Amino acid sequence: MSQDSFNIFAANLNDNGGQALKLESAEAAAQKITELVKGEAAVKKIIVHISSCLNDLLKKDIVNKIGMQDSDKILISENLTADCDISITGYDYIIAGSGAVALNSMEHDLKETLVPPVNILIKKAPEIFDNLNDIFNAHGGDFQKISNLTIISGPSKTADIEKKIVHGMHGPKKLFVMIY
Amino acid sequence: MQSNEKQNLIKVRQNSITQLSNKKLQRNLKNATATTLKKRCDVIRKTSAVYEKARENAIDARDNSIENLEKNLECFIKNAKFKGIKVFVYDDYDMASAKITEIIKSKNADFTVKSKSMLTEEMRLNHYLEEHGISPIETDLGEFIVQLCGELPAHLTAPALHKSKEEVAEIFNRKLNMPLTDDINQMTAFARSYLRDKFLSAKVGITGANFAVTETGSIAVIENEGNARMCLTLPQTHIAVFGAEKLIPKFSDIPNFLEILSKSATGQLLNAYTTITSAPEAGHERYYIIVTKNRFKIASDAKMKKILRCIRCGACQNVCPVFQRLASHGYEFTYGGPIGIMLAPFFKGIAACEEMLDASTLCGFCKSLCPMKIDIPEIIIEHRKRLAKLPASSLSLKRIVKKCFSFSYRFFYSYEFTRSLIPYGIRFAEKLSNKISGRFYIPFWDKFRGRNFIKAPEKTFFEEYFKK
Repeated sequence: MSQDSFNIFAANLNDNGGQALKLESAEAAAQKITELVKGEAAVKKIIVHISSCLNDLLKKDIVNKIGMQDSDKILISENLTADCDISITGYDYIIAGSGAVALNSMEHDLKETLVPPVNILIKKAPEIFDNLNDIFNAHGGDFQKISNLTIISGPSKTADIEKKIVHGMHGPKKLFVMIY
Repeated sequence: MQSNEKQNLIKVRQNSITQLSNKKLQRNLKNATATTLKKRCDVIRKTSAVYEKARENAIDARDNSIENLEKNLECFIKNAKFKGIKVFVYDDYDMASAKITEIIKSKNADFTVKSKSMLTEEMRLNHYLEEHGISPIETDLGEFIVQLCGELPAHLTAPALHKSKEEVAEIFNRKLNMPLTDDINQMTAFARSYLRDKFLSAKVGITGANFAVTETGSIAVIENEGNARMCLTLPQTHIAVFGAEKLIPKFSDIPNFLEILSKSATGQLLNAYTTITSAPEAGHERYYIIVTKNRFKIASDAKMKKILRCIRCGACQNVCPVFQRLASHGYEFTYGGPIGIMLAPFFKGIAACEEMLDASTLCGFCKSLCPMKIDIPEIIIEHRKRLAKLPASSLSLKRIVKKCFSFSYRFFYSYEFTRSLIPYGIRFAEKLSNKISGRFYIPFWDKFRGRNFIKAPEKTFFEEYFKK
């Protein structure tokens, strides 16, 4: 993974209203996630989804860290419900030129990245593509076989009133994309 | 047929007087279109190489699709059905609306959540559903606002761009009891909360489709708010309603269209959410309602078929000096601005579009910005030529006078004779106006009072300078 590609991705995601974070290890990532969760006000329930992107070990680490400090306040769920405040899920690829990540429905429940107000996406050493054409050239065949491919390039937003951008119209208000 | 069209004349001139006198609307329109254009210029300048390459590829793909539209549609239907999607094709709006109503009722639903779709506006689907006891709830914020106001969208991608925050707060307060505020964040938070309940309890969700892939039977839905994703994924049943012109040949064409649509429509590198869906999730059901009305007719018209290249980005509207003052409402047609002028004659009849076809300065800004390189002025001129060929009985007095001039200019002597009469005609009109002014009631006279007649020269330019 080249540093330049990540920097381009981070800059573009930032322009889109999201935030990219690069961590040294799984433990550092779990620590960062804990900080992000603590940074949000009145968090009662978070969903942590196991997938090949977010492995069991990392999940346990996150759950332990959050659970140990706030076991009475924060409920950690494996099932999405309407009252989840934060979702911690995986993703598949990074598209640097668009500041976006791609997720396929075989690996992820796409509703988890949509319903809670804060979405933290995490993956170990993801494949980074320069632009949309590159990712479709490399994986277009696989994408055709899955039911849904979702490309996320920032938090939910609207500019429908006087062209003022407001985040969190229907989907997440905050989006964090982490790699470690 | 043509006399009917004449009776249904779209009164752009009259509408323009109303729109231009609304100072608040003029200010909102100016701000909204200028903001979008600036963002668009910035992002395209930053990514010009990728954008230009994607643009060329997208144009080739779309032209390829339009060339064999009927055959491609058959292929798309076959591939979609293979993936378990139920597909219905209609040439008639009411039949398509009736099918959608039938599907919703079969799920025992009395309301549906809906994301933005211009085709459903074209079909007046909301009106049809309401008449049949189903409440359609628009979930795109702009569409939600115009629905509450009982209006039609003012723009392809920004339906409520004509509304100020004070007007939005007032309508939310009056219809939904939101406490009055001038904070846009609070207004959007209120709309989010109100609509979230609807999403969670909806049995049926309706979306449009930005692109439909012939090769795989997939559709791509592009948006920023997340409401289309919710309509697609939360209810058990999803209905996608789109026109046959949305077809693109291959799955690998998708990135080219994504690269140009987001940049051209909203000045973003990529919209927040792109969903490419090929099959319903387990336990869910999906329907495609495809509308072909006038699409094949346009595709078979050699001089007009490039209209179908349009990806509905709205850039031509943002840059059009006429649209910047009228918004879509001034055109009395689902699509306003240059795209509306190109499409309306096929839907409303060319005689009804007489004034609409004049609502273009032919400045060519729209052509220079169009990501699909549609020669919009050329198409408008072609429509005007076709209008001029209609029999005089279906035309207005202005067109009949123009037709007489056009006829007299065909022959040298009749041209010379007509030209020589013009100065006398103007002098006569001037004297007449001085005599009658203030004496009699003449309808609309106040519109002309105070205007000076231009003095017609005795000789033409050539006579003056070359025949001395």
